[in-house]
Amino acid sequence: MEDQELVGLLLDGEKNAFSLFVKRTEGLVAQIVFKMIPITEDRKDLVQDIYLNAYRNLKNFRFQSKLSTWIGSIAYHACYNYLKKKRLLLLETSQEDDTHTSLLETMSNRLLDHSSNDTIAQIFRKDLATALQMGIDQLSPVYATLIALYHYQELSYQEITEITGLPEGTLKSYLFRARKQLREHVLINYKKEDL
Amino acid sequence: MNKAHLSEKEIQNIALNKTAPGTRSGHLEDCLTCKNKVETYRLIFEELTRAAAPAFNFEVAPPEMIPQRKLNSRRLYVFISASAVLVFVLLAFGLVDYAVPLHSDRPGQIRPQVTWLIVSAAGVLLLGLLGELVNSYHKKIKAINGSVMQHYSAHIL
Repeated sequence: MEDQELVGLLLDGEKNAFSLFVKRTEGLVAQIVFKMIPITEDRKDLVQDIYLNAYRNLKNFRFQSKLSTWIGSIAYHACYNYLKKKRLLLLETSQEDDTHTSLLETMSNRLLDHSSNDTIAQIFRKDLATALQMGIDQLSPVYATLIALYHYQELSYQEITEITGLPEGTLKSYLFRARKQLREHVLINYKKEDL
Repeated sequence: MNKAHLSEKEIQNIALNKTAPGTRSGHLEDCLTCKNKVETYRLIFEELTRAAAPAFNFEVAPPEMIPQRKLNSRRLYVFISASAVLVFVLLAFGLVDYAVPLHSDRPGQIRPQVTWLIVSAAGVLLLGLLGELVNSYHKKIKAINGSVMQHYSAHIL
């Protein structure tokens, strides 16, 4: 079903259309909410507000973007306002610390050694996934969201700009810093207990 | 040959296969440090795409599904156009009848037939609008009832 058809059904008050709307946009909205909101208990209310807000404003949707991008923008701004209200850290200032460079290099060698070892391939994947999850959790909410939107949702810069409202230059700069921080976090978290 | 290490930006771009013109990709053949950095990024990016799709671990309750469209835009357009034409014709007819009383014994007055025609047309327009209002009211009530029933049945179950 095309976006236009779905919006038409929603505007006509079709009950089944709402669950289809949630199903279609759940991946992106969940990605944004789960990455930006650290307090699990608050997520449900926020998601409910996001969908209610989207439904109320649906008649103003002009199909200038995809429906998912549009609700993604509502979700991002709802989460952003929530974080601002709760005074939670939105962005981390990038700290260039060269003292860790050699340590990171050693850790990088260790990670790559394990990745090329076929006998521990499965264990390596599991450990890497754990380190990556921990690394994402250590990023600021905005950086974690940008990483998810670009690398996991595979959205273009244009689409992420539409969702976040960030200028493309700022977005690229944030993504660059986020990837750099993520690499460092992953290297430090990878098999931390063995160090 | 430039022996300086690749910048972090160049390394990320190579890992993303988005090399800009002038990127010293050849440097990787001689530099293990930069090569390892690129490989680490590639591993991370690959792992990021493998992550499980996120999904809500709760139900999203539907809002009261009240129809938001008052009138179908095409129907509205036809209705307004037809009404405008009707009003214009009747006004013109009434004015001509008032100014040029060709068939009237009483100059300066509108014939009763014309008056009835205008009143009937106004009545038809009014009925059309009332019909639309009632229709929209019924739709909204039906939607509210449906959502209330859904709410209660969810609680009972």
